[in-house]
Amino acid sequence: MTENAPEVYAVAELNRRVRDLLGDEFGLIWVAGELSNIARPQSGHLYFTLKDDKAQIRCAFFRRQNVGLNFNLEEGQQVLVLAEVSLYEARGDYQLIVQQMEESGDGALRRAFERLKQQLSEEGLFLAKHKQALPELPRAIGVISSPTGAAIHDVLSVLKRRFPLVPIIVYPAQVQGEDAAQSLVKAIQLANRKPLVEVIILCRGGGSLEDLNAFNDEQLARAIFASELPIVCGVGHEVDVTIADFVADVRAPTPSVAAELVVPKQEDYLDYLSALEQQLLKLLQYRLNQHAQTLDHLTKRLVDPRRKLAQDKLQIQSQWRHLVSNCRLQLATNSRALQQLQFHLEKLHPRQRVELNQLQIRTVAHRLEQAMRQQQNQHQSACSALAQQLHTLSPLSTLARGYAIAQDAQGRTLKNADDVEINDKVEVRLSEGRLNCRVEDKVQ
Amino acid sequence: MPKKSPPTFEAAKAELEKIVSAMENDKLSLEESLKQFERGVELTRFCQKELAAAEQKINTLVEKNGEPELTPFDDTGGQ
Repeated sequence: MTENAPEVYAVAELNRRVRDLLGDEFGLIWVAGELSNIARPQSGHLYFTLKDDKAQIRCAFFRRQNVGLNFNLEEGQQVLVLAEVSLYEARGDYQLIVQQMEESGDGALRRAFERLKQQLSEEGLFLAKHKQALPELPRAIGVISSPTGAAIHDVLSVLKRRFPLVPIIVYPAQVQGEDAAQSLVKAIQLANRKPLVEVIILCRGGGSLEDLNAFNDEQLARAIFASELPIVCGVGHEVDVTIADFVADVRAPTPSVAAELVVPKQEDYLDYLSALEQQLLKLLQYRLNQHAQTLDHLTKRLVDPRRKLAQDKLQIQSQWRHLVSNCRLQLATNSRALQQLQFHLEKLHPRQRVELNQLQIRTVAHRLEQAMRQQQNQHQSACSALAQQLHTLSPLSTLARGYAIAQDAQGRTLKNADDVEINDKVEVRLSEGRLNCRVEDKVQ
Repeated sequence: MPKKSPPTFEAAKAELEKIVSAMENDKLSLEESLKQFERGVELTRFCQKELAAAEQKINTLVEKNGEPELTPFDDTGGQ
């Protein structure tokens, strides 16, 4: 090689030199782009093209590096890669050797969101016990939002329609862009520093995830948590959920609903007032009725003494009459009983008995007399009969026929010769007269 | 009228509720309850009138030179 001779590189050498150059120049860098042409060969390495609307670059994501990847690569996905700029010497293709990959755009925001949500949840910022109750009817309402946004307009018109009596204070804040979170934090702090309102509506209209990102800010979350005033959060549409929603005292799906939550409906309140008035009227009526009733009752008990006197007199008279008639009745009853007793007594007088006894005695005497007479007659006739009978039976008649009766000295009638001894005196009775005889002999 | 109307709807409503519950408690004299009733009706009217006639008052609070300052809200921003 001469001094003038041009330097000639072998292709391989050139490529290696360029590769070293690229490596030295850039080192490890972050590159953002969209995924395309993703290839997943058996080796486990990943190959894809990173592009934007103007250019593209080949990338290799080797297995050793991509094992920790926690999301699936999709065509068109926005990613952020940490890579070395290199050269595939065999082909001379310039490429990136990816060390690390993250989702960018919505994906990154979503991951950041999940991380913060997890962290704050663990710290207890979302716990129900920290939630403050909303006042039934706030004296004034604070609205933290962009003064020119659609959200504040919605909120104001709802409040005006529902309950225009409550004054509103708007705390202007940026709701989008880099300074939005800080601006919202300051508004919350301002509202709390001089509490002219009793509740805060934190709101913003709908937008992309990135648009709403200020409401996923950690500082804002902590400011909401620290707020002494209760905060109702209404950000985006129904489907949009932000960290602010979780930490707020009340989450509303939209700004309009947030407005509805902080005030009652005016008609409800008018109804309530009417009900109160009706109740007052009813209570008064009740009270009056009660007093009237008491009065009636007392009037009934309050009696004119003259009437009372007359009443008493009447009562006494009636009682007197009662007493007199009672006495009379008693008297009559008693005198009747007395009469009866007298009658009985009369009947029991001894004279009567004497007379009765005399009568009885007379009767008995009469009967006695009669009986006596009857007896005499009976005896007489019996005597006659007996005399007749006697006469019939008398030995005299036998004697009269010539028979005699011999008797011993003792008068005993002799029937047997043995009854007498020789020489004994024997009297023989004849029908007429007697013979005194001496026994000379006995013949048996 | 026993008292002059309270300055705010809130106070009127609170007083009205107090009157109703006092009358419910049945401890007022007749004269007192009549007085309270009149007052209650007056408060109801006041509240109803306030509600019906209310115009929303909207202010903006901004800090100027470190001092919060209230200014009327300019509602031309929304559509």
